[in-house]
Amino acid sequence: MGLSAADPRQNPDAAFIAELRTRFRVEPEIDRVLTRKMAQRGGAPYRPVTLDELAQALSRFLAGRLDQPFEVRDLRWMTGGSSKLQVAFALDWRGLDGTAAPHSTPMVLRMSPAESIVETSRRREFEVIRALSGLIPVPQVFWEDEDAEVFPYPAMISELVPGVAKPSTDTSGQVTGLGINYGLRLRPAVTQQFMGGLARLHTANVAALDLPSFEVPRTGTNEGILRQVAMWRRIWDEDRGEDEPLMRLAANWLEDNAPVLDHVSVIHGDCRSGNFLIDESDGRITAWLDWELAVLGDRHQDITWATGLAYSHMAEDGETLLVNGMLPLDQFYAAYEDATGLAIDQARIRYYRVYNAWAATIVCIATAYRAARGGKSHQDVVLTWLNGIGGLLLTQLHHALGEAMADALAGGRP
Amino acid sequence: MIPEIDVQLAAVIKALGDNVAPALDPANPMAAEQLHLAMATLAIVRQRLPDLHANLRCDLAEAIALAGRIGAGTGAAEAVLTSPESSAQRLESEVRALKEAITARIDAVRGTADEARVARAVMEAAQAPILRWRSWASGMGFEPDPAAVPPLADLLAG
Repeated sequence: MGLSAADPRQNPDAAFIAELRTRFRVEPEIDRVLTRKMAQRGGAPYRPVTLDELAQALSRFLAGRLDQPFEVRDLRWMTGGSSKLQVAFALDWRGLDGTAAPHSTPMVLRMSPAESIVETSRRREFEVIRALSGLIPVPQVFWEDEDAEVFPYPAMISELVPGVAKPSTDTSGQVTGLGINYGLRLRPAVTQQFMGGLARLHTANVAALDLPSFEVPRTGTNEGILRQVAMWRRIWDEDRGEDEPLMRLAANWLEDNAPVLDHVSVIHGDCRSGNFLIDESDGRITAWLDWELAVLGDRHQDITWATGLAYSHMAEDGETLLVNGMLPLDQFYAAYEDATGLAIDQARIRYYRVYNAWAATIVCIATAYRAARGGKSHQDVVLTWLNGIGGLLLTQLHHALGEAMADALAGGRP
Repeated sequence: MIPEIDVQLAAVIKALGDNVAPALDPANPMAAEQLHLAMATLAIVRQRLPDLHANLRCDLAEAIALAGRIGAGTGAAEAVLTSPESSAQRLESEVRALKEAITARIDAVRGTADEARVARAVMEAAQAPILRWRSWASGMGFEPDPAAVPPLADLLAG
């Protein structure tokens, strides 16, 4: 309820920050971003930025990178999502090297607020999108300003790709892209496109990708998932209002039962309907979006995220649950195995169901709460609204953890 | 009589809907989205504000029961719960302190013979407050089947 006055997380001192950094070892780039968040928490709330201000910043930023005449025009706010500020604009220019014929490119400026529902690195997001170009449909990324040298907050500039996150026939009406219904006409094509893209993502040769801000976990160990659990434990301890015994129980269980990695995949981290754009005429995926939670790890993380109840809906028969708005669960698994040649391990499915429910709960009841409490984002009212889903997420966590613990007691692995 | 909070909130919601919403710039979709959510949030606050104190008392009673069951110690919490003078702030403060003590106990028994018993107790005790949270937020559009969630008044009375 936020009635209590004393809260060490609202204005953390150096010792508080250092203790969390020591207790929870995370990837260096993630450590840098989380440490910056905590160091700035006691400072100013988010300051509304005008389109004129951003147009001026864009012109300054591009002047330092383009050795050619250019013009920034038609800036407009984009809605959707609950995390970052996004502004669409047109850039009149001659291309990156200045040798193309004059033309206009639709672009997106994506900028973090002072704090958001997930505190992530624009640099990692830039790197992973750049690395995946040519492998799956992604926007072309042009520049990043992770250190906010020119923009008011960390930012990234990419191509604006045409397409819609959900078809105009969908009437689910949620805040973000939850439970999207693609309809009978588009569903087969979207499913095929999604599965093909996911297969290319999960089977990509990670060693060949240029991802300097990512750590590659070793197969045959569980070090990667333990680092991820440490990251979310740290975020929970940085952001939560009050502690929650079920969350601690789950955290300990995730550490004690962390599975060994058999194959390193690029993990999207928020892999689901609503996080890719489609061409509404034929169901073709035009771009996979929202890479800020990407990590190198276990494919079961994305599989369980995509097949979560929150992104499912009933088919037209009123009886068949379609996961990710696409297929019944068993058919989804079969299609994935066919597309990737990688097996789905039910023990790891159970583990990652706990992991994902736990992480999603942290996002919605800890980080969303903390960012809004400090007035740190451009849409605090959206963040406090998302607090409302906490009970449902905790129910999912309770269910997933209960099943996994019962399975372990019965003699199986987690 | 001091201003009635329920009437004030209703008046704010009406003002936003009748006069502010029509004046928004149609070229600013973020303003329209946030006004809609602001009004919906005020409506939820108006609906739930009268239940705040009772909900905190339930939270505290359940935390006391769990702490006692797993040997976490309850400190002054029982006195705070039974005192008619305990404010909402005091109740919340005790809930938070107890939850910290419970999680410390979960860590303390980790890897010991007592771990499974404590885990079972935590799992069982989690159900009631989670269901109340869902009921509290049942008007916010997240529940796949809102009719399956009991009314808050029933849960607070139980």
